[in-house]
Amino acid sequence: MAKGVCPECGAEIEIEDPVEKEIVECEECGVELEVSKVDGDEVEFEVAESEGEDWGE
Amino acid sequence: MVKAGIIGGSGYTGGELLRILLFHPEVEVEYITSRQNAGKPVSFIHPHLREVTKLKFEDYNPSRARDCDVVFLCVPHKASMDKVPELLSSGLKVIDLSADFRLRKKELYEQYYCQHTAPEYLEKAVYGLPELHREEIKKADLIACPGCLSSSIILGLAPFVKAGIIDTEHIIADSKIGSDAAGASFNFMTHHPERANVVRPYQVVGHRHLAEIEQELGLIAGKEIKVGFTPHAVDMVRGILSTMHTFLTRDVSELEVRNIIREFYKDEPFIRILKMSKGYYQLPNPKYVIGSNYCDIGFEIDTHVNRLLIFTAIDNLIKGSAGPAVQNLNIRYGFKETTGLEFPGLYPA
Repeated sequence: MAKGVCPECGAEIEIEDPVEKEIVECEECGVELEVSKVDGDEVEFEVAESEGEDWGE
Repeated sequence: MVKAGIIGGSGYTGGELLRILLFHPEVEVEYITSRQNAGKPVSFIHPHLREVTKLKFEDYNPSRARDCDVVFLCVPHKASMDKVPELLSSGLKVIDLSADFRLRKKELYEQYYCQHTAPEYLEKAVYGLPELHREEIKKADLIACPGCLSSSIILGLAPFVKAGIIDTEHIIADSKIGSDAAGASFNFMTHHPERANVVRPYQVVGHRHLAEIEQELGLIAGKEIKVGFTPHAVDMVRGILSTMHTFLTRDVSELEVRNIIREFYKDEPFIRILKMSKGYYQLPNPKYVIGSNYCDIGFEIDTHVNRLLIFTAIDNLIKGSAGPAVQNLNIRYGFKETTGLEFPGLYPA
């Protein structure tokens, strides 16, 4: 199991067989993350681009 | 087994405490009192406990209380201070859910409540918020459980007062609270046509819980702290949502704020951070904690006015009352702190 840290909330994320560009979701803060680098059991994430939510009605 | 007594067991708090203790593996409820309902089966007043227990309410009798090891006082303020000296002198441990021993200073108590007739015990009592006073609770014979609104506000603000990132002279706490917090006794304003569909500010300045909020936050800060606090009665039966408006003394990131909460409540079994980036459940809501001993804490940074918003949600009868009472019992007797409290909330409820 590879591990990385959510750049948004700092939570540790475990991911099985990570693949670069794969999108995962942080269980603590819910942000979508893109696997940006895989180095053995270490994974780096970037916040994935997402569409904003409009609460303005 | 620890033998427990519940003095004043016919109210909602007493009923909730009894519900929890009946399933606590280390506790036997020996004695439960109600002046008005003495002789009646407990289930006549707490219908959800039908066939769960055969206990009957009894009149309060100090000699009967001495059959217990620990006594929980679920009586209104003023009634506790009449009983505590005798109970303690009998060698009992007392966990008081009333307001009588929460404040350290007699003058402060008398400013917010009434004359205190047992002030010599104020210094001996420990404020029973486990997240702040666990070590003192381990040795205390008199534990004063916090008020429900107080718990929701103190738990939200404490990490940030300690971290020193908010202006402690400008803190506003705004709480929304359900109807069961008014207790099992009723009056015109708790009458259904008056209470249903309500969003009503009440005791908008000088609410009694303010005294303990400022006391506890002041202890953390090491200086006097004043909080502007206004509660609102809303159309829920259970639950509290507190929103604390604070102002940052320096720029902080969301990650830093999250880490401040994480660090302060490291290993705390009943504190959960709820601050999600997306989805339906992004911030605390009483609906997610009803029926549980959890306190959910969330936050948002408002750079427009340099504001840090902190949100807490609790079930006022559990994390706001009976839950910490049981946590305190567990801590005092050396049981695992979560014993009897390891249940999630009801959802939806």
